[in-house]
Amino acid sequence: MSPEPRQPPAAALWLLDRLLPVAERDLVIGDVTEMLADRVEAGRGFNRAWCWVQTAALLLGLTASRVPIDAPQRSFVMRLSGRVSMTLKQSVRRLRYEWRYALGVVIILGVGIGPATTMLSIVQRVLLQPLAYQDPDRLGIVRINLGQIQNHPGLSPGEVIDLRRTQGLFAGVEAENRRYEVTLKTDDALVPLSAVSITTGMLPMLGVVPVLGRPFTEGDVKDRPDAVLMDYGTWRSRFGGDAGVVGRRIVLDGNPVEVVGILPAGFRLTTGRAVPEPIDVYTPMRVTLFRNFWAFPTLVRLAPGETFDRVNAALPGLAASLVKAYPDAYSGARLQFLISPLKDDMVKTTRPALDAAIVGVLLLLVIAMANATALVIARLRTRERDFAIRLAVGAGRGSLVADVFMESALLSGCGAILGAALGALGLEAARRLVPHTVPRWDDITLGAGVVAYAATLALVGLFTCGLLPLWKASRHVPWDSLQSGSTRSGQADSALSRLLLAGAQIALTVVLAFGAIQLVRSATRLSEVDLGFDPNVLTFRTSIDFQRFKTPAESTALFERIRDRLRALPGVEAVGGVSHLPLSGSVLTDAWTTDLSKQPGWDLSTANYYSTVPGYFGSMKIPLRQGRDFSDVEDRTAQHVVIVDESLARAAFPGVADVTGRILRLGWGLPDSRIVGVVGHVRGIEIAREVRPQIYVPMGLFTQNPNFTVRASGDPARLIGPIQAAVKELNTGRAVAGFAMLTDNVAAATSTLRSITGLVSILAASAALLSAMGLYVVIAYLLHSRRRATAIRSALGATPSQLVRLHMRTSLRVLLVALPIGIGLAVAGAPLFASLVFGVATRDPASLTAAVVIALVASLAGTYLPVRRAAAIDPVLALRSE
Amino acid sequence: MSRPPSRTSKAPLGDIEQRVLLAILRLGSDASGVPIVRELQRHTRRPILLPSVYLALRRLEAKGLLRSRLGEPEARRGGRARRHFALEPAGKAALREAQQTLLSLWRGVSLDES
Repeated sequence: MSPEPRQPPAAALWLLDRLLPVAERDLVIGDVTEMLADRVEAGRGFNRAWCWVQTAALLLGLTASRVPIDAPQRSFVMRLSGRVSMTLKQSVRRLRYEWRYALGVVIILGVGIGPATTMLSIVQRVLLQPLAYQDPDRLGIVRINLGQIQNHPGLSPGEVIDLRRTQGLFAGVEAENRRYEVTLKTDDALVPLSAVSITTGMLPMLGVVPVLGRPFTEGDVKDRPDAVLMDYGTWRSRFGGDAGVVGRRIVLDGNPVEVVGILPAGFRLTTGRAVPEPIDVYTPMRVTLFRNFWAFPTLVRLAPGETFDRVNAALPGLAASLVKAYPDAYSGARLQFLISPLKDDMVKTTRPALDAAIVGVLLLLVIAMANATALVIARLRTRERDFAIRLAVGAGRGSLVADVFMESALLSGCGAILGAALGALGLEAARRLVPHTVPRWDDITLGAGVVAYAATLALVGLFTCGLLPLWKASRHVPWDSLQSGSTRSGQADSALSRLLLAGAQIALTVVLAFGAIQLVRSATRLSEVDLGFDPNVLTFRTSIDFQRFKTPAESTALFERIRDRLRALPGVEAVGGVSHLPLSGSVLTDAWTTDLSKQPGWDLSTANYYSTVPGYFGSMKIPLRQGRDFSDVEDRTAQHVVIVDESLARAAFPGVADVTGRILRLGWGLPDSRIVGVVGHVRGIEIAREVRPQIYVPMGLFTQNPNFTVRASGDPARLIGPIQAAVKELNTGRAVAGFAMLTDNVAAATSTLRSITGLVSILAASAALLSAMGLYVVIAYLLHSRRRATAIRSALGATPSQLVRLHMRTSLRVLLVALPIGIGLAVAGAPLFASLVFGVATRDPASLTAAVVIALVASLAGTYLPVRRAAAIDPVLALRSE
Repeated sequence: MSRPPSRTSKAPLGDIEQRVLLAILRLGSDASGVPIVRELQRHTRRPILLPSVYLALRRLEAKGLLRSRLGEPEARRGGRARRHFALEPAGKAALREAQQTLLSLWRGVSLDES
């Protein structure tokens, strides 16, 4: 702590010296200094704080008081504050009188600021906020390219060790295994939990310390799980937050394991997925030199001084030496390690959509600002006479400028309040609407950020709607407005700046409308894609108790018994099972070949491998093109049979009409198998494209935990109870988990595009409305200033339709400039969002035409209404009113 | 420097004004900012808000109830001069009036009996 000061802080002295009335400065400052000296001598603390409290109290109390002191000694602050409060009062009075104008500007600003505030808050949470780990920018994730496999987020354990052995690149290399399911046995229930294994150094590398208990040690790694760290939420919900759980043993999958610690609230392990799966318990694991199973997502912490670029440049050498040293594992395929910052990896799938959303809201914001500015300027013209009179009787130009500025400040302040309110509402809505495929979607909460963004944007608004009018007000003295109305009303007012602003709005409307149309068409195309299966299926998982069902034949028989029991439930039409559901994000991939002289390696074509319980294709309505489904006997006796999808059949046997009976050499160490059927291709990884062909084998041949697929008539929810009862009876000791409709997977896969489409469509509609309004205001004002000329034309015999044509010309000139600019911007910006567009060309001419038409209709509507009113003018009335 | 009274007032003294005048009366020739504040603190046994004291001094001087003069600069005050306050006859008269008002209000009543 610094020693107690003998003098008040210099800044406080400076403030007091500047702001206090001259007559009282010595008295007050001297007294404060003297009292401070007394306090220090008396040994009292917090003297600096005391000084600041006194300074604040004195400034507030003595400068704002109306107790008279001699006039020449009134402080600058007092004079300024008096003037500000007077200007403020006048502005409020004027705006209250013209409340329709004020309300219009405030609403326009709010409509612009609100969505921008919402989106900026979301972007801040999703894209910018650092991950909740220690020094998160130094953390990276390793992806590999191996032959046909690209950007795969899992390493083989041997490669984790290889990376650890590199010199000086990493401060840590730690891995996790894939998520698996365990059953927690409590006194009265079986609870499904999700678990993941992590290397013991993972949490220390992330800088995460358990809130209770201890982290893993090397001694915790046993052949069978013996120690777990528990998720904070699971601890609260399953164990009521009982601290006594730590050190106690719980029963997982029939084995007692010790809970060694509780992880901090909100901890999530981010490894390669945009949204980490919720994990209930973490188990320790050790990596071995095993090298044929790329299933270990791996995180690294860069060594001090290293950069991602330098590390990536150093890794090709390692990859080349591995390919040479382990020809069996890599079969000569190209191996590449790619390390990217963890946060970039997490947000990369969402970034294009968020970028589009940000561009959309900022365009709308610019349109709203331009619109509000045009309104403010238009109104300023009606006050010209007032300004001229005030200047004539001796007002300073500064006071006029202050006047204009104060009004703009008031309007944008109110706009900011409205914008913050709309932004907060928008954020609440977004919390519900943001797809759960967006990283950290549950972090999107209402915070101080909303207000900060609204305030910042309002400042921008203040400068745009304040400065341009300010400049106009200070530039010329509208002496001519003092002349009588009749002598000036014949002159044409070019209103150039407002036409420019209106033109800018039209151009940006074209851009937004183009984006919205492209996205709507993409979403429609995506919803029309044939998935290859009917997702109206109820799914659930259950794990196998390998102690009870020791052989594949035993577990396969169990699956079939479950299937048959479910088939007997009322309303159930078909039941099957599969190891990996379509669009679930997890899949097994390996090579295949028809060349029986080769070993399947990464240099060959790859496919996704699925194990099925017979009946799967029927339950999913996946069409059978050739042959048949597996029989129960084939399944239980692990016959060497395989079913392939049509794209693999085409690729493996080009030109062959019937491929059943042909032999395929498979990956995953599976035996060469005979094709017994060909099914339709399923869009299992992405809806937008076929990623890889598919290979199905019987569960008996390749036993994995199945997802059951149940097709039923009526409400599937009523089946949950009976299914649980049936499975519990047959597969004792294991819980049933993850009841869901497969339609949810489809919805999640399209959710980002659907929400961004909705958002951009709303923005485009608002933009069209705003630019129509903007043009309306400008044209209406223009016509008002030309009403004398119009009246004379009308009196001389011009028909209303001639007058309409005459006035429409102004608008058409604006459109002639604005539309090409808008088209240019849309075409130039289109490639930025190419990754969002599906099934339509990036610069689709039809979409562009439609966007132009929308902008055209909006502007013509904004022009036609005031023009028609002006054309219907009664010349006698118009001329008399001058 | 002593400023001429800008106006005098017959309005009764406010509470803080009365206390400040009394503090000056008690302090006599020692009456200046810090001693006044300290005297007030000693008798009210409560923290005093500095601005209220200065505003009272400002008002009392404007009403012509007290006068002030500048002393010498002092090192302890950061080189600032001390301002000494003294009662004007009108100030004494105002105090006397306040005292009499209070005394006459108190005459014949007791808090214990009511």
